[in-house]
Amino acid sequence: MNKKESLNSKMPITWCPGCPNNVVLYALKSALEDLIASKKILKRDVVIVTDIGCGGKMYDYLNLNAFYGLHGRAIPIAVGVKLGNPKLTVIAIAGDGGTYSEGVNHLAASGRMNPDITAIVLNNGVLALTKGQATPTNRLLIGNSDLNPIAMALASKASFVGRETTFDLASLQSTIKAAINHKGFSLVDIIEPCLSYNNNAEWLRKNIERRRGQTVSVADFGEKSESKIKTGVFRKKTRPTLEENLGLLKTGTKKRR
Amino acid sequence: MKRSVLVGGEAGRGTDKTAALIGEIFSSCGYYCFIYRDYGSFIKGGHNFSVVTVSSDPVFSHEENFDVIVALDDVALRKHIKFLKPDGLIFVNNGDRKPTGNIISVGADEFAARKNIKRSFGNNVFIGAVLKSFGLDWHSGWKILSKQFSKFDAVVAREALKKGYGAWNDKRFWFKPRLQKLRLSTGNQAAARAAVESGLELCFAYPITPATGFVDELRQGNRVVVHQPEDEIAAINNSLGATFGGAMTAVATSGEGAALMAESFSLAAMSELPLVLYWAERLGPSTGVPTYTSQGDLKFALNIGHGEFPRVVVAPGDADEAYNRTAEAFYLAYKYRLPVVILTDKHLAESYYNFKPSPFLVRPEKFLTASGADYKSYAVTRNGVSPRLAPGQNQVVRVTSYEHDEEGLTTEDPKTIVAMDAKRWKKRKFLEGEIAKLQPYRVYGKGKNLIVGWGSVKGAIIDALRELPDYSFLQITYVAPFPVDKVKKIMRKARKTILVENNSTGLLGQVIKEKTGIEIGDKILKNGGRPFTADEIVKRLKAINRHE
Ligand SMILES: Cc1ncc(C[n+]2csc(CCOP(=O)(O)OP(=O)(O)O)c2C)c(N)n1
Ligand code: SF4
Repeated sequence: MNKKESLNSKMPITWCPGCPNNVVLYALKSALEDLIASKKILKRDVVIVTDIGCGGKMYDYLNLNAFYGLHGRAIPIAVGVKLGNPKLTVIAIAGDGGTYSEGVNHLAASGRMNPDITAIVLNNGVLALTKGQATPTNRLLIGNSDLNPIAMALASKASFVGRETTFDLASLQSTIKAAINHKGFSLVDIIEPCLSYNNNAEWLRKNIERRRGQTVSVADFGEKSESKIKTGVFRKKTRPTLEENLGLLKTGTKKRR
Repeated sequence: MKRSVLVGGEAGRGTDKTAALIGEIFSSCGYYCFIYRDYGSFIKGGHNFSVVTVSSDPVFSHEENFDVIVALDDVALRKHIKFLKPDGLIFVNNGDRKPTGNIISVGADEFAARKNIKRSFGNNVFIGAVLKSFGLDWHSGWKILSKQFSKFDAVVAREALKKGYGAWNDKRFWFKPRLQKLRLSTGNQAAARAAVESGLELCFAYPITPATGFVDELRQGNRVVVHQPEDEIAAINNSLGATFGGAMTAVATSGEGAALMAESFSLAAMSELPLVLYWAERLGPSTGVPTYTSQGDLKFALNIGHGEFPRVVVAPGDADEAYNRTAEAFYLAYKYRLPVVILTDKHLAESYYNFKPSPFLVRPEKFLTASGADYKSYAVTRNGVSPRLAPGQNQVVRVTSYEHDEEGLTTEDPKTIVAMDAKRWKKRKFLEGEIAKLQPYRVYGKGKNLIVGWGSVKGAIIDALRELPDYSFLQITYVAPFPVDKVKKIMRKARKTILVENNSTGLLGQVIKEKTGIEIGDKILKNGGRPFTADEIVKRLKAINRHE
């Protein structure tokens, strides 16, 4: 059995054929494989916590320790897992509905409290599993304005904030890896189309602007909707984590990094 | 012999603390004590009072009339004077009112001003006066008080105590103590102590009266890590996550927080993660009267969470029970992998009881008992309980909110759905067998007529039984799973049955009807945020009997 297979479960994939979630699943697996191969993490210490939605199905597709949570609650469950055993590498996987609508206060709180977990958000602009209703990041919401999750994460003091798309696999992989490696709360917002309910692939392709090495502030994600979708890592700063502040690392448990 | 001391004053004047100290001093001298605390939802201003009932026999409730009123301010005097017993005394501050007859000025404010100390510090003057009127040596008071103060403050505190001691001159309330030494504890404190001794590692809670006292107690001694997340929804999800991670955890809240936790209560059931929810009721609906007591959440606790699943709801009746039942809650939740509610209320959580913990009947642990390479997260076993494992081992561990197969993978297959539902329900039989050994109900007294109740009404009922030789008391402690057969048998034998509950519709009565088919016709119910007193129960029972 090669390593790649060992992260796959036996469950058949039930996403729409060609669903961009496959790209994220692939990127996540290869990021984890690299980290496991380089002994940065142990496979047995990885815990995946998923939300409810199309993206949440990764619970079934991965052969890893996993907690299939509730809609909007992947983050607080992941925080709990980390506090329950700070040695674990905890990754929350959720949609934009779960993260920016139903459970948005958990995002704000986690930025501030800085638990050492990684939140991967499959941001397709719709509640896909309930058949395509708009989410807060959907620009076409009539009479409303969209939420900019990057601005929100930055304002919430998240210590790692990155955004990628499913059109650039290499960057996606490396940002996921960097986020998992980062000690503290990491948000990776992944912009992707939903083939069935929000197929904006053409528009996205034209409007992605990659940022490299620039420092950014909340203001860069302005009052108006971004004219171009910026991608890259916007913040990476280390500060004490929630586990450290609660004194959970004082005894015994050795940090993995 | 029973005597009562009321301590009343503006919020922020140390009413509660003063009453607790008086109770502790009396307990240390061998008197039984019970302290009821009545306070509003304010930090400063407004009137608070506590009633310290002192007795030569065990006592579990407060009285409505007082031998001593400690009026820290004038409002206290005006509000409570009509409840003074005939030869009672009122200790007041100087300036508040001219001393007349049984109103004695102790000069606490003046003392505080002269010594340039906080006004509440002067409360020790009142304590001195109370001790004297009960004929207690001031040294016995000093033994307790001295532990409260730094060396520097102690000199003044001692002077205050002695000043009060000299302010009054007869020991009209003296009666003989029975025992060597007793201790006091609130329900919250007793439950927290048991939680620590059960091995609790992490508690997640968003502040709410009256559960906060439990959480604050856990913080003492640094043995439990307490985390205050963004809200109750986060708290319960944190708890389930941390339990999955391998820790022993708990959440604590009141009805409003529990309402927010409902979705994840059901998640605990489906994921079969142990959950201990310490739930201290207060008066609803909604914000209601947040610092006053109620037994209004019983049916909510019995039904919280969507879908059908086994659960445990255990309702202690006093501090000793809060201690033992809390340990049982941890044991059952972790052994059977299901949600357990410890249901208390403001009256039990925050009143002070004499506390004498007896050894746990069970040994709480995390029951992380699985081993072997062919681990299945939801293995179907004889008793429905799948051996649990925490992540970090070579086996893959899964928990899920979706229906699942034995490996924890999502399923919609009807056969598997039925099998997994049956697996979860299988636990109930074993649970019931185990709970049967833990006194799921208790009967007090020998009378042929039966009073039925649960939770904090126990105290007033036990005290009332002294005057009701024809009555006995059936206390239901495990409301879920309900001890159907035993309760049916006891109730059928009774000549007459009366339901006593601190709510408006008799919720336990409804549960009993549902479970046993027996309808209790006579009810003594009380809503309004105040607990029963023993006198009140006796009076209302007599009224019922007169009408029949
Ligand atoms: C509390 C709650 N409300 C609503 C739902 C129904 N629901 C299931 S999936 C979903 C939307 C998921 O959208 P998103 O998080 O964006 O994920 P996606 O399906 O797009 O990957 C909703 C609303 C639910 N499961 N739980
Ligand atoms: S509905 Fe959209 S998100 Fe869901 S599987 Fe299909 S393409 Fe993917």
